[in-house]
Amino acid sequence: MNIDINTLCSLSRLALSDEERDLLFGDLEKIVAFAKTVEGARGFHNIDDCDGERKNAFRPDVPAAGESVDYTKSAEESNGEYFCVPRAVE
Amino acid sequence: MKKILERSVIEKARDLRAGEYSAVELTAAYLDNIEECDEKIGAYLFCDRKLSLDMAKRADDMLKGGDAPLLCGIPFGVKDNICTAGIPTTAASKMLEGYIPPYSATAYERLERAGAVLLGKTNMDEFGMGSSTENSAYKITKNPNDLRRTPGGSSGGSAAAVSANTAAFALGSDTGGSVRCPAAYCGCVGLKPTYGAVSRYGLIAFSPSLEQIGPLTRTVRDNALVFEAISGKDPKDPTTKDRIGDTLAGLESGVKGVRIGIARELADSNASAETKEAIFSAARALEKEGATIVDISLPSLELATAAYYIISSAEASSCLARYDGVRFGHRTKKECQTVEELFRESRSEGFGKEVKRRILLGTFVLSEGSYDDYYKNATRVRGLVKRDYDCAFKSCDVILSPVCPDKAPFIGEEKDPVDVYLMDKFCVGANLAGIPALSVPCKKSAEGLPVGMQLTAPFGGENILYRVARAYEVIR
Repeated sequence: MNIDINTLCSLSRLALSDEERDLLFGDLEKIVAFAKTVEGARGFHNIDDCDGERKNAFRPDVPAAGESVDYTKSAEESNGEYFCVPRAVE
Repeated sequence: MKKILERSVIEKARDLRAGEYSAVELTAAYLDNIEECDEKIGAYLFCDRKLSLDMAKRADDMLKGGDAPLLCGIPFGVKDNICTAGIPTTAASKMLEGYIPPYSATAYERLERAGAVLLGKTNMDEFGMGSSTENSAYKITKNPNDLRRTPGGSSGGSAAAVSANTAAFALGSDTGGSVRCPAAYCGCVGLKPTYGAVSRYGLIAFSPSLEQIGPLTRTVRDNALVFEAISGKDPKDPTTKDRIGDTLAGLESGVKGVRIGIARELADSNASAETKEAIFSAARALEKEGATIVDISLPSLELATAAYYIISSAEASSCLARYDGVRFGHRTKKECQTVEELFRESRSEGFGKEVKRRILLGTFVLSEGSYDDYYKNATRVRGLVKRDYDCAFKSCDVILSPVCPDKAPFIGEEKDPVDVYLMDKFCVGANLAGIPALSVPCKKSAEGLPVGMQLTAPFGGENILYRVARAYEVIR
């Protein structure tokens, strides 16, 4: 990631003080690093339908979508790890 | 008269028709309450007693006519980014200080025509950017439930006004949870309508592909009533659609046979244990009423917050480019040698810190070299989010989730900007997918603060949202 704050300010038509620039630049670096997580979208690239292989692409240890079950039963089966429901919590 | 303010909009409408009190008396009671309470809450940026009482007089004349709409004579507040002809509209920004729009937003105009009475313009985060109403250029709004805490944002003034009984209902706008988050923190009902259900004409644009005007009320029925009044096709906004039908009709049908989905990803989310427990206890209560709880998955929501901030900031940097001190907005008084310098100085003086941050982010993600990595991927995530919702709605009718991860934060609490953005995690999906979502008071936290729950439905599914919310309101 390469952010040139001077160019960005110029393109954004903003004249920032040095103090403001330092503050916003620090925040912006964190935010841009967070925004970069959208690259994870590539992992979903070839999945076009609901019944596809999504479970393998995203989180292999979670039951597939569409396996609609009563949530309390699921809680028992999954030991509450992915179904943090009252009975499991209790 | 103060007791009357606690009554719902529907009850007030009945009272007005029964001659229990007049619209002028009701409006005066609200204005008195604003004078008494708003100094400490700070929900309003602008009030004009004479203007409100004149509107109330006209409402009384309409009521005497006999066939006035239900909202006739009901006093309300409007978020300050919704244009009101002849009345200051600033979007809580110095950039628009003193701006008096020559036209009204369609949503406001519809209420005005129905005889509803404007009490004033409510505070907000500047241009709708923020989740606490601390980013207003004018004042900080406080949460009426605990004055040390924020009311949420960006429609914090509207939610605080409804919660403090300084408005019978209010209009807000929701780009990534800006109606639902303050509704949850203040204990109100708040709707983010289906994209295109309510006209955006006259809404000061921040992110046009995501935002919608929505109502904040004390009850579910009131919310449906206001939504009915403001929704529908508008030739001035080509994205609008015809009204989806009578949202009030099936309101009392209960939840027997309704399938309510809970995303398995909730367990690993940043929601507090108290919030999760509130959601699951609401699920149990609805199950007892005959609903079926269904396990669903929304995996791409993990990426939705980042995608939301990329898309909304990109749109903001474009929408806010018009404020340059020449075409629109504040103009610097400094001596400038070039027009470019005038633009830069005017924008730097007019915009607040958060707005500048988002403009910089938006410019960055749209710049050469970043566009593919950020903006393009974000639009791909947006497609995935929509697809995940489509999949989920094959096995359920509505999705139940928290609105915010935790209760309202303290005013002035130092937070990392990314942590602040992640507070919108449960809300942004509905905006990216264009589907409706409703925030409903769920329970009180250990400190007695409101905790909200969110119901999300497929495109045009406001009816089922209101039906489930009403069923919960009855048993809560």
